[in-house]
Amino acid sequence: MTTTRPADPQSRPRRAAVIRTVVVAASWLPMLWLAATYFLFPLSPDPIQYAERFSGQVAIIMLIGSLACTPLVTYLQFRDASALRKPLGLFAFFYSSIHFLIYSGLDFAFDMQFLADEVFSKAYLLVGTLALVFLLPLAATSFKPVKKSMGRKWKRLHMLVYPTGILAALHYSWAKKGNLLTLSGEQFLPALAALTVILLLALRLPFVRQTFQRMKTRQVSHAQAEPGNQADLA
Amino acid sequence: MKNKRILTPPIPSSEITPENVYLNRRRFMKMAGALAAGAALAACSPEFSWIEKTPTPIPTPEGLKTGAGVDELGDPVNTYEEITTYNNFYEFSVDKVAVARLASNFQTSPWQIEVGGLVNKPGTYDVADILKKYPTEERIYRMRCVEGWSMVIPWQGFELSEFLKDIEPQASAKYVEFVTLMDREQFPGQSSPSYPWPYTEGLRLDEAMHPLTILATGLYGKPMPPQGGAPIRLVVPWKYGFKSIKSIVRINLTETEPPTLWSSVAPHEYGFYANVNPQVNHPRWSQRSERRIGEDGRRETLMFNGYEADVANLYSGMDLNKYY
Repeated sequence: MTTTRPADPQSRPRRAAVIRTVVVAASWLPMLWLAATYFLFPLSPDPIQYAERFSGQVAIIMLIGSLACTPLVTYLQFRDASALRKPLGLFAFFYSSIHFLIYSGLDFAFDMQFLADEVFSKAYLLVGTLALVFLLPLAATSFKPVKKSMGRKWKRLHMLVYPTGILAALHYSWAKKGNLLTLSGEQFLPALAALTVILLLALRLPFVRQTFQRMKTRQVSHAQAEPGNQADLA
Repeated sequence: MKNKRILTPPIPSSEITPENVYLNRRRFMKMAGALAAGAALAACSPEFSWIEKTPTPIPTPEGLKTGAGVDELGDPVNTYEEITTYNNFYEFSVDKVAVARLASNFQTSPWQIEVGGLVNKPGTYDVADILKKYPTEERIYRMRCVEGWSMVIPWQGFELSEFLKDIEPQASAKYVEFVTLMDREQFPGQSSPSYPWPYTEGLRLDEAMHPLTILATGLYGKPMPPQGGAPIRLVVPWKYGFKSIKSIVRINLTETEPPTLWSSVAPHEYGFYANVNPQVNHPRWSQRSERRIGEDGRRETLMFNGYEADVANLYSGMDLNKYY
């Protein structure tokens, strides 16, 4: 991983800023696609259903991207990723809101009676709504002054992102045909999302991280003790 | 059909249309299809009632065969393009938009239906003969998918009861079982282990004999396109769309309720009856409302898909929450 050790330490912040700008710009593209496939060139006779599915998938990808940032830093020393956590988290909230608006506004024309009936009669809508509700305080407290004033509480509050990831994966799975546990029906992508969230969650557990660190130091010390091993590790 | 394909000499690559030409042609055909659909619509007029029909025990409601381009509730039929580019046919794909493309080379002729079980006249019936024997008429029906969307479709078909009468069900027959073609080469979706192929469906005999129940062989006055279940499919307009099994190769009369694909995959989601019923909740899709393809917002879903006056008597005394 040469990228983690730039020759000139001054170039790191600049590179982080470039990566951040590229990621933020790319994160707007799904929004353009969403608008284009709804207003300009519908891909099917049921563009609302397409918009519902696409916005939901993008929201989950953004959420997973945001969850992946810290492990990228702690496990792979890809330190530039730490600057991506906040924008990706905000994009997750943004696309979740768009997803919710498409469902309630375009699909159900904001008929509150209908919507309430639906949300409380279907488990997948309950967990989906809950996931969006959980994202609200996270998005609201993502700005520097608020973060500073909250101190240690901020970190604890933002642990909410993990249950949110699990709720979002459940929402995705239950919205599709088939059974997540037996992987029957159309559960491949939902299962992939669920496994990724669980993996990223597991990587944050202190004992997993300590085990990883211990294994790494052992490897390094082995390598130093027996120079012959160096070639294998390179 | 398999034999036929083996006998066909391989196509030289020089004969294969380049993809961009093919795609352009498809786009043109799509436009032509839409235009033809419009023309077919314009050609439809109330004088369509020249169709002769054998008398049936329950008269078919008049409005259902006006050929007027609207259903009996006054809602316009969906366009030919909407009907033929957006539908479920899991044997081809679980993606409703991909079905039409994957179905384009489907072999529908020759085609036989194997009739068996509790009938006096079992045997192999050729669809070409069936088409000659039973004159088709236009039936404009609402199609309500269990996924919460709907269309209005001008089917071309004949009443299933006419066919059933001719194969003479025995007194002990209580149910009709239908089976779709099993052919992994033509149906890539049948390689999916998630479903117990082939697709099977069933009706109670009185449901099958109901004059609204038809075997459809076309739509928009044209032969059935492969994605629509060619050459012959069932249409039961008061039930969720998945009951209307496509590309039928077997019809069996049985004494006991036949297993059906969806109710064996997820019995708590899909019952044997699967009547359109806004009172019975589904874990994923709204059954209280539906999105009519081509419209914004939602419509309230009607009991028995709006055919309550015609079919409710089939279920008198039944708990429809239990027999969903």
